[in-house]
Amino acid sequence: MKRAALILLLAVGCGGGSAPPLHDNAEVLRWAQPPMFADNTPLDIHRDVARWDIYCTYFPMPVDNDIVASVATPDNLAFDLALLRQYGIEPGPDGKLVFLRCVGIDNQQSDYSAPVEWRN
Amino acid sequence: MKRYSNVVLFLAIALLFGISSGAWAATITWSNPTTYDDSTAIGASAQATLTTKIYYAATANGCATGTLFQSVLSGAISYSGTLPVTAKGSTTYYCATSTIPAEGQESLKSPAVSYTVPFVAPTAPVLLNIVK
Repeated sequence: MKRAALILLLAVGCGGGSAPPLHDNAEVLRWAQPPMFADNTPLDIHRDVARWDIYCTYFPMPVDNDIVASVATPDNLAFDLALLRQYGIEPGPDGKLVFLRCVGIDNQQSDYSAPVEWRN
Repeated sequence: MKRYSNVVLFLAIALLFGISSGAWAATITWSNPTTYDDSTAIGASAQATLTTKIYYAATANGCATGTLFQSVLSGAISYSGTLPVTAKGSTTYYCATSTIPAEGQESLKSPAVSYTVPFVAPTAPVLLNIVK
């Protein structure tokens, strides 16, 4: 099951907030951290965030099984989607939608982000 | 000197909003005592001067020797402001006493009530783009 291939990347790139090192075929997904919890209290990604979960699907409404990767370095705000291709996860001829969720240290999940389109 | 009967501390804690990391705003309400320990009434003028001291502790039993964090003056029956709690998911216990300043003796502490800061999910991140 290609879709079930969950890649736990403990250190995608190094250094606080820096993008992963680029290579020729990089397809770097970038995001902005949520500034708040749902109750409007400030969120500190170093203290409050456990990981970022990345979802990939053809459909505009992702489900839990669409998770393809987790970035377990909270201060890393980028992920190279090209790393997924070796697991058979790729946009295909029609492209796919990529979503992101922020997961707190207490395992509370944010809503899905608005998607971006991943195309060859 | 007569001591007041225990303050009836509803401590209906209503979380208003988190005002910063590690500091939570809430409203605590209670009812002031109307009698002394010997069941004689506390006069209206004395009631209007009541000071309520609010204590907190990490455990219910600990409230008996809890830490004072707020004194509310002039017979008021509520406090709105920052609670001394530290993190989402943490529970803090609160109790209170009454004192008539002119008489000086503090009541026994009320039974403790607790407040647990709820876990809350982050808001959604914002995907920016895919850069090739």
